[in-house]
Amino acid sequence: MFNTRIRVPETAVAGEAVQIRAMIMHPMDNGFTYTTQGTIIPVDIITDFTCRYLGDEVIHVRLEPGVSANPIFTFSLRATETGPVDFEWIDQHGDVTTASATLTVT
Amino acid sequence: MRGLALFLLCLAGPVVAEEPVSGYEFLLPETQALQDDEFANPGMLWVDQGEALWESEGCASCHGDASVSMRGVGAHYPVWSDERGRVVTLDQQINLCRSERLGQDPWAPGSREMTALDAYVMHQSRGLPVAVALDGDEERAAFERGRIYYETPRGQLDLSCANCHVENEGRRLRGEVLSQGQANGFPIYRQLWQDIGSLDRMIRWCHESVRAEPPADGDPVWGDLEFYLRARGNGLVVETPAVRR
Amino acid sequence: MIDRRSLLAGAGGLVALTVVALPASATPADAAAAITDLFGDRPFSQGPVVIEAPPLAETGNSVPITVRVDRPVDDPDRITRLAIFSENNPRPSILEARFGPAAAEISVATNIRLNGTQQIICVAETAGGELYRAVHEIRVVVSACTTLEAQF
Repeated sequence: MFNTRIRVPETAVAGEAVQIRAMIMHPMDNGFTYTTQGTIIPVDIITDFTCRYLGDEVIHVRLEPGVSANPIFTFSLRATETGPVDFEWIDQHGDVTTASATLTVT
Repeated sequence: MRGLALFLLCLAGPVVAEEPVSGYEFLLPETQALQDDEFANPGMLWVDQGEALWESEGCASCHGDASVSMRGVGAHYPVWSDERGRVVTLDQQINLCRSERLGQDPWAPGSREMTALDAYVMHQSRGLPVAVALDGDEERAAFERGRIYYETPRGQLDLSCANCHVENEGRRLRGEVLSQGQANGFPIYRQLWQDIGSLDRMIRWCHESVRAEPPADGDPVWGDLEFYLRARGNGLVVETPAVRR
Repeated sequence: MIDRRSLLAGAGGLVALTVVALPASATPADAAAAITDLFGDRPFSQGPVVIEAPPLAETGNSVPITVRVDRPVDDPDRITRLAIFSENNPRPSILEARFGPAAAEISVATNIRLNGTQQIICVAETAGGELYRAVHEIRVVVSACTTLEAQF
């Protein structure tokens, strides 16, 4: 599990478009850097990011090494009813990091 | 010959920047916006880690809520300690708390945990002016020692910190504009590293860039140098975690 | 104090750095091939794809971009997926995104790595099988992949 930062507003009005932001601490090694001893640092990246709201997919991103380190995504969802906003990151080793917040819809 | 040159350099008077200017002013608007973005500033990932360490390592047991107890503290460091007869930096104070009050092993300067906790503590002073005390004789002497180190050419490239950051401030080193090398944003998120960087790491990077050996670990000049670097930025606002190129 | 052994080891490391090839940059042809791999060999149509990015990025390691398609999420000819390609990075494909029914708009913002000044391409596919494309040129001061290869 890597350190994450998520931003989901606490409340929203039904029908409103709500901005969501999610960031994870990860070096996204692209395979082109070397240690000071001259050995190459192999590719090691987050490969998938998914956000779900009430279990429905909002966005899924397939990442390649061309995405910056500590990848952040900003997107929006349509508020309908109170429920969980779930975030999931999967890296190339299959390790999963998750985060979650509740969106209260009035 | 080197000694004579150094002597003459000292006689010439301190090569100080006229007016401190933060590295923030040397950034393009997008990078400035990233620093100002309280959520997206990548350095905040380490501030969050520092907050977790504040709880887990026992800092909270004495200092409680850091946003209250640490507000303004980082802006005054480093300090001169008469009791210990040397400069005490924030990192050193953290280690003193760990060893003397918490019974914990000290963290190496520039280590991941030290940098994260540093970032968290300095972040509590974000927005406040840097205010390193310079009114005592010992403080002024430490400032002078740091300044002499700063202005001494070193390494294969025989450059001093001042050669770039004072004499050529605002001019280009290849595609990039040289800043004053101020310390008010440290620990920083450096885009070149895509990682958090302590002042320790930056000083080592600069040394390596002129192909010089940094001072030996534990050498008191580290404290004097940090004292000078932070004090020359007195008046600038603490920006931790700053985003830099 | 550098001793002889570490100096030689360091020099050996330096030699190793210089003989290993620098990452080859892509060409526009490589980007086109990557687009074909992902979307098939189809012509592009005119469509409301927008790329927002600064004209000049001082660090190629983190260039902020937003890609957007101005079409409702629930439109009958909705956008099924979009992808971002680079004409000059060692790997032309940067990311691929799809949007579900809970999304409010077809839009995502992130930071990408760019290996120097180049054009980036955003391709969007519709449910009806059409492909839209937008191109944006970004000038980059410091390249992401070929600068500071050694971590220190």
